[in-house]
Amino acid sequence: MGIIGFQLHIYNLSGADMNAVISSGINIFKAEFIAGFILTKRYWLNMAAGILNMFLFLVFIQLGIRSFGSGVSAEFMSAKMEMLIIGFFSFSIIGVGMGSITSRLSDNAATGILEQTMLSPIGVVPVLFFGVLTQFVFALVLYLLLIPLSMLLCSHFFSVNILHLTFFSVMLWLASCGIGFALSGLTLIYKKTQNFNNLIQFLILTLMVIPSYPFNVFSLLPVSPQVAILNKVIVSHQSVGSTWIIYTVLQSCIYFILGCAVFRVAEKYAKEKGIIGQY
Amino acid sequence: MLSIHNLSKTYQVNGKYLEAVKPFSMDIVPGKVYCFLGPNGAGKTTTIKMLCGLVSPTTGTIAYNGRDIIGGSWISRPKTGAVLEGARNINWRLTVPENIDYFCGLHGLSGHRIRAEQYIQMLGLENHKNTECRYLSRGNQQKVALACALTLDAEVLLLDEPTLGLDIEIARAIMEVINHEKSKNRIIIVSTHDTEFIELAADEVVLFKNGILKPLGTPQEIMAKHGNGDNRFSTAYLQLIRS
Repeated sequence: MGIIGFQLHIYNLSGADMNAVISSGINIFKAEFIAGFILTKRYWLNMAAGILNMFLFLVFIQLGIRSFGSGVSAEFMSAKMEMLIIGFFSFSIIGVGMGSITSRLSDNAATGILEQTMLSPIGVVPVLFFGVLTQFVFALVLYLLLIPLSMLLCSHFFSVNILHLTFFSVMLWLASCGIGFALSGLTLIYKKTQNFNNLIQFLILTLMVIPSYPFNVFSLLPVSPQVAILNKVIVSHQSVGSTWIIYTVLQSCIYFILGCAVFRVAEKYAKEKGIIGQY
Repeated sequence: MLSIHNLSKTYQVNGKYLEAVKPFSMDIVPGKVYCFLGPNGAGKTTTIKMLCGLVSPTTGTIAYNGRDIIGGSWISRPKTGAVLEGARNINWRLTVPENIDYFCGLHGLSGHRIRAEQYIQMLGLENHKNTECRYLSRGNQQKVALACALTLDAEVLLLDEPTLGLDIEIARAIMEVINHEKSKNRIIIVSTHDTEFIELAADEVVLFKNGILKPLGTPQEIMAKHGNGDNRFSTAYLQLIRS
């Protein structure tokens, strides 16, 4: 229950200590953001290819549906197209939350700085979190630009409430981060877990299509209700009650805290075994 | 002051218990260079990692100025800079100042530019400032790691074999910088096999042998006691580990 312990420590801190916590957090975010920006610029080809990849995927989803759905009504085709675009967007956001934490951890180990990041006085969890937060902000901004651009190219339009999309994306990302932290904990102990993480992708795909709205037992699963609400609000343009919104926020936060707690337990175990840096 | 009390580490390997560091206690005062010396596998790196929090001790406590740094909150921990064994210290894709900025940021610091510039100059890295660290030699990468640790303005500086595999010129440069840091009242602990480094920089030598720590005093005292008239530290050291 490390993260909870960490928070309790915060509550016991004086005003000056609290300021130190906040300024440390801001400085970690700044450091991660600037390093991320420098590396993006330095490895621009990889970044440009990634953006193009994303854009082409969005374009081909639309062109593909249009060519295969020539016999169906325009309304039906449009709904399917929107569902696929939002589905792809949701899967990417889950990837940023879940996959990026584990890949960051492995990457830090491979480039040799894992032990140094662990020396950060407020611990490695905020360092990983802020690193992935910068990736999330970048991915979200990119999607908000690329989705309309791809629609423009394909002459297909649908209205998206950007505020709703951003809000539910944050919730989806937060829940995914929880899974990401739990998986990173396993990576810390078992080191090579890439194949296991690939398997988890199928679990995520299952979680995305499980009917978790209206409330049923599947609504307790991570990611599922967040994706369902995104579809409901963005694709079907239906409203959900405030109870659901509160539930989604709480559920996302709980999975996030649980994931961090699992990571802290794994970190403690790895420190006891002395296997933090043995990659 | 860093007060170590009854600190030990036991690993469980294939069902057997391996006592890497046997219980020991000692006080480490600032302004002196403490050198951990001993054969491979004697427990030096494990001790360094326990001191910087990367390995949890099996028993014992570490307190900094009376505050417990193992069980206490992060606020109670001293600012710690470490250069760990091998090349696992810097981001190879970033340049020298970018690395310093990044690691200072991870420690929650800002406003370190002037200090960073001073250490870049002291370590002779000014000509490599715009080079990604992956293009630097092993010695210069080690200097960058040291510059990062020093720019943190750490209260505790832990260096695990900082001169390993480096040519004499770079090793000397690193040694001079570490000597210079003594005046800043830091706690400095260096684990090393480099007997010349110990002779020229150590104030206190701690011998590690089979997981047992033994504070031995200054290099001069050790040479006088165990050197058999030879004024080389390596002779006294050999005598010590064979005994």
